[in-house]
Amino acid sequence: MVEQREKIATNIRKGVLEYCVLGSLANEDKYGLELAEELTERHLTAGEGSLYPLLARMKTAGLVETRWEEGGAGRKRKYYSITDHGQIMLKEFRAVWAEITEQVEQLLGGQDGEGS
Amino acid sequence: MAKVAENQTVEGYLRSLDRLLRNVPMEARRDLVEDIAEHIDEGRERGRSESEIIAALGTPQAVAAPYLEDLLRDGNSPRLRRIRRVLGIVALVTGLFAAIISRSSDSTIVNMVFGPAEVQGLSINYDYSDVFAAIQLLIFLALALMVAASAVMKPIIARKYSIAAAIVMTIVVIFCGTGLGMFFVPSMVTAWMLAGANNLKLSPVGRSKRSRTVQAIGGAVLLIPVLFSLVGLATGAVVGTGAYAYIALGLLCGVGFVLKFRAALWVTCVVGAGLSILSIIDQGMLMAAFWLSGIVYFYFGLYGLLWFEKRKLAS
Repeated sequence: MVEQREKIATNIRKGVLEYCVLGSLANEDKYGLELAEELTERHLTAGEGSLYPLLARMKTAGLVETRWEEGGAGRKRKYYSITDHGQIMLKEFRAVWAEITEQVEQLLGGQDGEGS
Repeated sequence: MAKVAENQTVEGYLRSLDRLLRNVPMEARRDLVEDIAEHIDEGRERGRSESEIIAALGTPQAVAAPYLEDLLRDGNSPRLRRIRRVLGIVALVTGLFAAIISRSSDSTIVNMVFGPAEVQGLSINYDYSDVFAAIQLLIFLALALMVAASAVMKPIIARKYSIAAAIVMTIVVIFCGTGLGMFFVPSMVTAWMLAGANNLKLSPVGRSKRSRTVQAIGGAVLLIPVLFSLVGLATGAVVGTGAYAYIALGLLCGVGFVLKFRAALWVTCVVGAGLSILSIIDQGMLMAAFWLSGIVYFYFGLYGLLWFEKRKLAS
């Protein structure tokens, strides 16, 4: 059962992780580890490492940008921030997500045997 | 099991990630490994243990997966597949063509220094002509097939194979010397072009940088002889109408090449093929001149047709 659940979750996360990153960056700029920890805490990503290829792709797509800032111990930290294009995509996603969740809720709501 | 043990140290983890990314374009590979290294450093500073950090990262395979998928997709992109197919056909056609041309001139220019004692020397095709011609044709075709084969291979294997094939062709050219060797030059150039087309490490930026370099070199190679002719005409060293025809054609090819006009690139290609065909008629050094200049025109034209970004004529 746990395995099945994990499989379903993985599939859904795949499509939304990118927008979760955008949503998180919309609040404030973050560096890699911060983002990774936040997403892992919320069980939105299984492996922290796979976040970095995603961030690189989002940077290429112009959804996020990076800058270097002084971090702890005199090292530089790569901070990620959301771009205007990223904001637009996030807004689009919000509308789509609201629509989908509403429809899914409606469709599944009546069949929920244990919840109510 | 050895893999798991190796991945338990930070260095081992980064090393196996870097190794997995060996076919990925340089910048992307470096960036990802640096990002992960930074992630590990930050994690350490927060007091997380190495094994904790590595466990949370996921396997190097999982981290590298999106890049490896992209790699296969890009390597199999319609454009690159088409370029490889064209080069494969070019390899076969030029190989066969070179075999025919080289046969037409054996009695005068081939100076074999290897093989059975009877066929060595200058006039090899007097006694052995049929057998030798057949063998030579087979050698040419076998090498052409060897070069062309990478056009139908899977990307990562094709890359290694095509480099090996290009090195073999280069050795063949050097080994055969100026006589026979010059007929293997088209196969060698095609082999290196295929090696380039199979090079997955070259990012699109790297590719356009490379095609700008070729554009500059090709422009110079195609235009400098035209300049010589112009100077010749101006000083009176060159006379006759032939020079004017050459200058007109040379300018069309050279300037068109630099400006990336596709029509001019086609003309360059066709002129090259034509010059190579002309070398069947003549003998001696003039033949070599026709042959080699034909190769220069043909391959610069071909390179432009395959790699130069399409230029919009109407805008």
